[in-house]
Amino acid sequence: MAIDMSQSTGVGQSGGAGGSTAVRWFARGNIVSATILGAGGWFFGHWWGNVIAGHYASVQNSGTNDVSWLLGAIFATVAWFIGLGALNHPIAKLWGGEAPMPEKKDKYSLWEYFSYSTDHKVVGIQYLFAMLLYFFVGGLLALGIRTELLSPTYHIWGPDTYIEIVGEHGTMMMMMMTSVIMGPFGNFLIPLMIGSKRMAFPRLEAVSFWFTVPAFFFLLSALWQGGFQSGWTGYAPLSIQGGVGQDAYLFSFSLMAMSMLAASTNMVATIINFRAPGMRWSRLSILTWGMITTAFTMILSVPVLIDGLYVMGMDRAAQTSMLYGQHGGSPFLWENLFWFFGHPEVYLLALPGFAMTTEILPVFARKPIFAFKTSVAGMIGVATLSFFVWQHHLFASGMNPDMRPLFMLSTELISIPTGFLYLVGMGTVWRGRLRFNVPMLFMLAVFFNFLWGGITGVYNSDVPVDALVHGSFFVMAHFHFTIMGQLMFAVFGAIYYYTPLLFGIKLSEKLGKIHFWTMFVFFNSTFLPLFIVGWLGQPRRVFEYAARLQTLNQWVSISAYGLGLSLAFFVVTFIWQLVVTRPKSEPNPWDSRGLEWQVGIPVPKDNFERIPVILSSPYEYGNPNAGPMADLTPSISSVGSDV
Amino acid sequence: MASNVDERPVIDEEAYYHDASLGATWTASRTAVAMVATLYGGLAFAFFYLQSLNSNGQWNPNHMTASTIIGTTIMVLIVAAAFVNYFGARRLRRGLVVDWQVAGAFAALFVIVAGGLQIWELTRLPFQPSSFGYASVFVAFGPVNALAILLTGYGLETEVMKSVKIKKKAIADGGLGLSSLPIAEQFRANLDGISFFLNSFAVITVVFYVIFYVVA
Repeated sequence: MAIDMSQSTGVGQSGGAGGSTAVRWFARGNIVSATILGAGGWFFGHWWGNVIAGHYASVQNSGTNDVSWLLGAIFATVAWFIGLGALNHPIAKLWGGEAPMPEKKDKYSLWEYFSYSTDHKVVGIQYLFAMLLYFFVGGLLALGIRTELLSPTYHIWGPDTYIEIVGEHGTMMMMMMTSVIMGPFGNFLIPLMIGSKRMAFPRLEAVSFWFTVPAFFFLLSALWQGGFQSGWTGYAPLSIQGGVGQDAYLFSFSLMAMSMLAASTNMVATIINFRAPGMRWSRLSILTWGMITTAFTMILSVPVLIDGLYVMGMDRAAQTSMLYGQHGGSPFLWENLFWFFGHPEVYLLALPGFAMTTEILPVFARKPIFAFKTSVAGMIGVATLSFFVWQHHLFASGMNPDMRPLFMLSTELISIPTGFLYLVGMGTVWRGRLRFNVPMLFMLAVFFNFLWGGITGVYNSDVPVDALVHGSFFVMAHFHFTIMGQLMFAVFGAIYYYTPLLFGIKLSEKLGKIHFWTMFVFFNSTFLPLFIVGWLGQPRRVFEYAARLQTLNQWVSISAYGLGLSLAFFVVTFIWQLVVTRPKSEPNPWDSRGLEWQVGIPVPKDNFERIPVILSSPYEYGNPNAGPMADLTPSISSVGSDV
Repeated sequence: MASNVDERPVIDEEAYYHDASLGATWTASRTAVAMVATLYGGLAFAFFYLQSLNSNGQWNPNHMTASTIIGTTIMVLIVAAAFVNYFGARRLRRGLVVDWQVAGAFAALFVIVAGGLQIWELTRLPFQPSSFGYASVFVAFGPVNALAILLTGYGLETEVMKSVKIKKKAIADGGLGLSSLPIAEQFRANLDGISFFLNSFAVITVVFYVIFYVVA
């Protein structure tokens, strides 16, 4: 397959085509050349699709041409990667050659963050800003939803626009946020945490990021192409009846799937093979464990999502009938393929959140992780069981009733390893010498929020309850507590925690606490009432509701504005401190034992002067006899000649 | 005070990262097989799910299949490519580089021809995409299979070209098959990865031949 299996470090190589400076600049690839070529690819593909399918009866009757849209998107994406220079290497390999890898630097200009970089630290920062952008766009869409729901009778949007916004918000969050921890923090931190100077496949790593950009724009483009009425779950037959907005949904989701596969392959290969000497599995940081379990889960679930999206695309563009019952297909095929990915997907979001939380808690509790092995077992257990629960999403969809108890049981079982993760966190803070810095506040909030989401999840897994609350705001509140309340709080905590390492600055505690408390209060104020709203019968995805629920809905909408203001406050203060004030950080401001904090600020070009030798666990807090975690400059005199 | 000799790094970084790269190649090839097997598994699920539902009796009312002759030829070519590459790689390990180059080139040729045949088969199907369930699933399977076959062919072709390009560098050290030079070891690791993928893909091809041309 087209996996890049060469691993030249690129250090000392200088690259580029011959010719004038401008030609070299263009040929080396960057976001400008990618955008220009991508636009050209779009027009070419679109034109070609019209030539191929413009005369089809289905196209002439409907006025929309899925073939031309999809061909346009495919050509645009290929041209985008050509413009970035990402295909130079695969093309050079056809003649047995190898394209030069961009040189690593101590310091990068701003422009280089808009280029195809193979430095894991640059990719991590690219991911961070991109993920925040995607998240805030999704958040603005959420405010659009809440604005509509201020009144049951007075409407801001029409019903079609409302459902477009709901689908766009859901897909933006569920699709793009799968990489919100693995992308920024996994790529930046994992080599540092395992004692490596580099990733296994830097080009795959770069490609994984650059897939997300067209995915985002294609998904966003659905808004002005009629949207997709099917929502983020893409259920047939709505999905095969909709306009080209549905093509945007399936294509952008496919690009994100490619991104996930590329990132996972790189992550697995790096963690298994590039660990420093002495970095046993028992000494791996819990975040690294989180990344590898997430990566394996992606590898085994995402291809099935690609199958499902492909089936949908073929039904729409090639006139197959796999999701259409009249001609031998079935809409349930999509439901099964989608949820075989879709439920592990929930854990692809939750596992990294738990890993990040468990990574940061001991630093501020000054205690080792309580029951480290149990935590790892919990992650592996969740990842494994996540493949056996998908049909609980079909309880109310007409599935074989005999199958319900099985999937109810498997869903309830998954609460056991999830409980491991929760209790490990509680055990870690129990009787610790807690420091309530901003990152710690966010991590503690993760446990508060997840309690609501987790407990209601157990109820939802029971068939009788599920039959009652299915499709209601109750379920919506449940998954917002498990995902936003858990994952996004962990992400913001991680941003406060790791900014010294990423940018050399330490964000203000005072401003951070204002952000935290407003976000925490308004988050709970937004989503806790939705359990009641759902219990009282308000369905999701409907823009009108019973008048008796108006007060609760107004409370929720106003709280949502508060939540939006809190996040806007974060954006302003973060950019202000990053660009203007730049409050300088000391090298290890949290007094962490983690290997990533031992390399200094800014992180050196090659991470480590020499390959370190790992001597102990990163979590030996409170142990007066604990030595350093690693010898960073091992020499024969320091560790002996028999190492 | 320690002597300068004692301050030498304990770890030979070049060798360390070379070994790590060989391991990463091994891991990536196995990961690729897992991903492709899962991708094909989803299609197999679609096949058996729709076959068992037989919605409106429209799974395959006339018991038609795509061209068995072309399907068999594709399967035979892929299996032959795996065998040729396997025996070529064995001879490479005995130092017979040209033997593998010839075998690799033929394997790549077989695979690329199989990919071409898969595309050709799609142009001469005895049914329309929406005719019935089997027809739909086959029309979906064809492009995926063609793409996977051609990407496998790409992997083989690049490996053959790489061997041509770097062959001279390893001659003095016993040739690409025996040399302990990093470039030769990396080449053999890549070849091992691609061979593993090709062998696994051959198994997948046989399974899907049975599904689409025998079970159907």
